Amino acid sequence: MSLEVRGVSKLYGSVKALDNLSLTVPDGNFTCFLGPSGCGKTTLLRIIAGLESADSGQITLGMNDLSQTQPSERNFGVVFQSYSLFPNLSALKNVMYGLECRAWPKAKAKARAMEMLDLVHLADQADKLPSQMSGGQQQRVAIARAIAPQPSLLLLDEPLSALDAKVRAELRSEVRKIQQDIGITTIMVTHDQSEALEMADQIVVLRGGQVEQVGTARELYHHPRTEFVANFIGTINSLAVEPNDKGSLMFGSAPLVVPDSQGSIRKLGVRPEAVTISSSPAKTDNSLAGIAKTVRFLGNYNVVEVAPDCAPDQIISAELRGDLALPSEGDAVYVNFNSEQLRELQA
Amino acid sequence: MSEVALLLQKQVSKGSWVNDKKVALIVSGVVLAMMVAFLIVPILSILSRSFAVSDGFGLENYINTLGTSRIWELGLNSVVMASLAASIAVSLAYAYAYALQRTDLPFKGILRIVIMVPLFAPSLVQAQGLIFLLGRNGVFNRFLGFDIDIYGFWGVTLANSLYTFPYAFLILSAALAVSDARLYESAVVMGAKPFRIFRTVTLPSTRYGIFAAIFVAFSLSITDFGNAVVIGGNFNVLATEIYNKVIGQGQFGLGAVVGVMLLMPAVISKLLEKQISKRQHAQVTDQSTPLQIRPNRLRNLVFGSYAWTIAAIFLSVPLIVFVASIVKLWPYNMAFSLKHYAFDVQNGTAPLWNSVGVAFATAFLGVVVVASAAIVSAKFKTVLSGPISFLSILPASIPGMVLGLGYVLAFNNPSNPFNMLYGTFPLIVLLYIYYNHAQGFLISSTSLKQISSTFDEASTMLGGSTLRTLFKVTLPLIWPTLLGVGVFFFMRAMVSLSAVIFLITPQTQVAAVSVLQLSDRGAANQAAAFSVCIMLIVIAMLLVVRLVLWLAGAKNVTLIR
Repeated sequence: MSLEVRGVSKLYGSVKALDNLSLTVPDGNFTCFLGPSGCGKTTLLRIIAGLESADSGQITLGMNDLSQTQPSERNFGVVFQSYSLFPNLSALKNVMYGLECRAWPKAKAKARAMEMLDLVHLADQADKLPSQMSGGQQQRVAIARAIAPQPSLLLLDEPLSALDAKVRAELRSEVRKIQQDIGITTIMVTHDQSEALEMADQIVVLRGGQVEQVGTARELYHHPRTEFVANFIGTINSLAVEPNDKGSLMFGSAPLVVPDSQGSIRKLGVRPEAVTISSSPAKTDNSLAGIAKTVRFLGNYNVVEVAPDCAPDQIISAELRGDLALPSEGDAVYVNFNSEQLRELQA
Repeated sequence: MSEVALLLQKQVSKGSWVNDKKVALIVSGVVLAMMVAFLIVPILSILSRSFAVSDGFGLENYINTLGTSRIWELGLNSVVMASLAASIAVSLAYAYAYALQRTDLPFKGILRIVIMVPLFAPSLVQAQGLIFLLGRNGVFNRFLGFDIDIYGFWGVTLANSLYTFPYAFLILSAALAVSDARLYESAVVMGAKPFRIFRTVTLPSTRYGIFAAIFVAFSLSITDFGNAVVIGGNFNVLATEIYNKVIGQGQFGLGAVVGVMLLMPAVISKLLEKQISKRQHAQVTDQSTPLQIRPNRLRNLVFGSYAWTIAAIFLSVPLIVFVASIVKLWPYNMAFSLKHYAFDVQNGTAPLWNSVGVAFATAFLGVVVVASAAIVSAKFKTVLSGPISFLSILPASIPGMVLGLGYVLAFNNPSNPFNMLYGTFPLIVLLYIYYNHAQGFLISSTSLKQISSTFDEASTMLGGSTLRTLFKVTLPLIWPTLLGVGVFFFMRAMVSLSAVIFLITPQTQVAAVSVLQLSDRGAANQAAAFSVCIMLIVIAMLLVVRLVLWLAGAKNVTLIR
C-alpha cells in the first residue's frame, strides 16, 4: 500500500519542524528521508508512526486515513537508532513480542520468530540476551522483530548510524535485500548521503521542514534542483553568474557558454569531476584562465583548486583521476568544462 | 498469508478493549485521590485546627501560645540545639566523606557500613547509648571516675549530631563522589598547594551538597523527639512540647500551633534549597574526567586515624546498648544474662511482631504506592501528572511528628470517610508510606527515567498496550530498584518514632514506641534489649535482600539511604 502525506505541519513552540509538507511513498518502495540534523526528517517519521501528532495535515495508507488510529494499532514495524531491544528478553522473545501482542498461538509465534531470526542469520543466537550480542547483531534482531508481525509499513530511524563502519556497510545491503525479498513499503531516515544513494529507490531531501527535492539517486545527483541538494549529495562548484545587457551570462568578467540561456539564471553548478585542467586553452565550451591555488593528493584522485582570472574570489575545484600531469601551486592553468555539464541551481 | 491476515484482524479487535488513555486517567486519579486523603487532608487539618477557636476561626491559639515566654525559650533552645548539632554532624561527616571518596584508605566498605548503623536503629538509640556511656550510671562516670552531666542541652545536641551524621554523610559522599580531574590538574599545574586546591576547587564544587546536608541535619534535629525526651532532662525543645501539649494535656489547638511552627524551618530550608540549586549548574559535564587518587601515606595516616576514630564512636553506641541488654542490671550487676530478652513487661514481644508486620505491609504497599506515582507521573502523560509529581515530593519537607499529629486530627474526626481507620494498624502503615513518600518516589522515578523511552515506543509500535509494556518491559527492568525501595520502607517503618507517637493506642503498639516507654519508666536494660532486637531485624532484612539481589545478578542497587 502506498503512503500519502498531505500538508503536514508541526510546530515546536515557535519552531516550525514541518511546514505544510506533502509526499508520496509508492507501494513496495524504499524511500529515504535525507537531510541535515534539524531538517524535520525524524519528526516526520515519528508522525507517520503515530508517536507524535501533526498540528495539521493528513496521512493515509492505501485508502485509510491514519489520524484516528493509535500507534499500537497501525501495524507498522519500526527500527530505532539503537538499544531498542528489550534488555530483559532474549532475542527470540524480543521477536515474539509483537506476535504475542497480536495474540498469535505460542507455537506459531515461535516458529515465525525463528523464521525471522533465520532471515537475519541469527537463528543460532535465539536464546541470547541483547547485552550478550554485538551492536550489529542487536540491530538485526530489531529488524527481525519489526518485520515479524507482517507490518504494512517498515520505518527505519537511522538504524545504522550507531554501528561501526564495516558492520554498517554489511547491513546496508542486507536490509535492502530483505526489503526487496518481502516487498514491504519502507521509509528510512538518514543523514548519510551515501547510505541513501546505495539503498533507496526514492530519496526525499528535506530542508527546514520542507521537501527540497524528490527523486532517484541518479536524478538527484545529476539534476539537483537547488544548491542545497547539489551540495548535500556530493560536492559541486557553484558559480554566481549575471546576465549582461547583450543577453549573455557573465561569470565575473567572462561570458559563459551555457546550453540554452535564460535571463533568470543566477547560479550554475558543475561537479568537480566534470572539470578538467590544462596548461593551454582546451576545446571545451568553456576554458577559463586562472591560477592553481592548491593541489591536493587524496589517494585515488587529486583535487586542484583554481582561482579563475575572470572571478578570482570564486574558486573552482577539479577532481582529477588517473596518472595525469598535475600543475604546481601558483601555475597559470586553464579550467575547462562543457556547457552540458552546467546545471542551473535555484536558491 | 491469509491466516496471518486473519490473526491481524483478531489483534485489532482485541487491542481495543482496554483504552490506554482511560487506564492512564483512572490510575492517575486513584493515586491522586490517595494523596489527597492521606497527605493533603492531614496537613490542612493541622492548619485549620491551629486557627480553630471555640467560636469559629481566629488567631487565639497563636496569641495564647506565642504570648508566653516559655514558647520563645523553647524555640530558642530548639534552634540553638539544631544549629549546633547540624554544624557538628556536617563538619564531621564532610571529613569522613572526604576520607572515603578522596583517599585510597583500605576497608572503605567497613567504614561506610559502620556509620550507617544509626539508620537501622530506633531514632532514640543515640540517647540510649550516650546515657550508658556518659550518663549518671554510664561507663565514664561510674567506671572511669569522670564527673560528666550529659542530661540536657549537650546530651540532646550530641545525640542529634550522631543521629543526623549518616544522613549528612550520604549527601556529602554523593557530592564528593563526582569530581572533574581537569580542574584539579589545572590547579596543580598553576602551582596551587593542597590546601589552596581544597579551598578553591573542592569546597566550591561541593557547596550545594554542604547546604543540603546542613538543611537535612537541621530539620531532622529540630523535629526529632526521641532523643530529646530520653536525654533532655529539664532541657525542653519544641518537639517535646508538642508531645506534652497533646499527649499530656490534650491541648490539640496549641499542639497544632507548635506543629505549624515546626513546619516553618523545613519550608524555609526547602525554599532556600531551590535558590541554591538554581545556581548550581552542571559542575560536572559529560566531558569531565574522573579524579585519579594518588597514593599519599601522610594523607592516609591522618584521614585513616580520623575515620577509624569516628567509626569507633559510632560503633560504641550500638555496642554499649547491646552490652547493657545482656547484663543482669546495668551498672550494678554486670553478670551475663538474657533475662531482658524475656520481655515480661507491658505487652511482651507483641510490639516487636506488630512492628515487623507493619514494616512488611509498609514495604509492600509503599512500593506499590510510590511506583504507581512514579509511573503515572513519568510514563502516563495526563493532566494529573503535574500535581502528582509535586505532591509526591512534598512529604520531604514535613516533619514526621507534624504529619502524625495531622493524622490524629484528620482521622479522629467522625466526618472523615476514613474515620474507621483511626486506631488501627492500616492507618499507621499509611502514615509511614506517606511520611517516606518523597524518597521512595525519587528513587523509583530516577530509575524509571534511566529506562530509555525507546523501549516504550518500540513496544507501542509492536502493538503493545501501556499495561503490557509496563508488566513485560518496565517492571522487569526496575524490580531490583523497587526491592530496594521496599527495604527502605521496611527500615523506616521499623525505626521511626516521632511520626507514629500520636497514633499509638494500647492495641496498636509498635517497637520504637516501646523502647521509648520502657526507657521512660527506667527499664533501661529492657529498652536496650528492644533496640537490639529492632536493629537485628533490620540488619537481617538487609542481608536477605542483598543476597536475593546478588543471586539475581543485580549488584548495583543501593539499599541504605
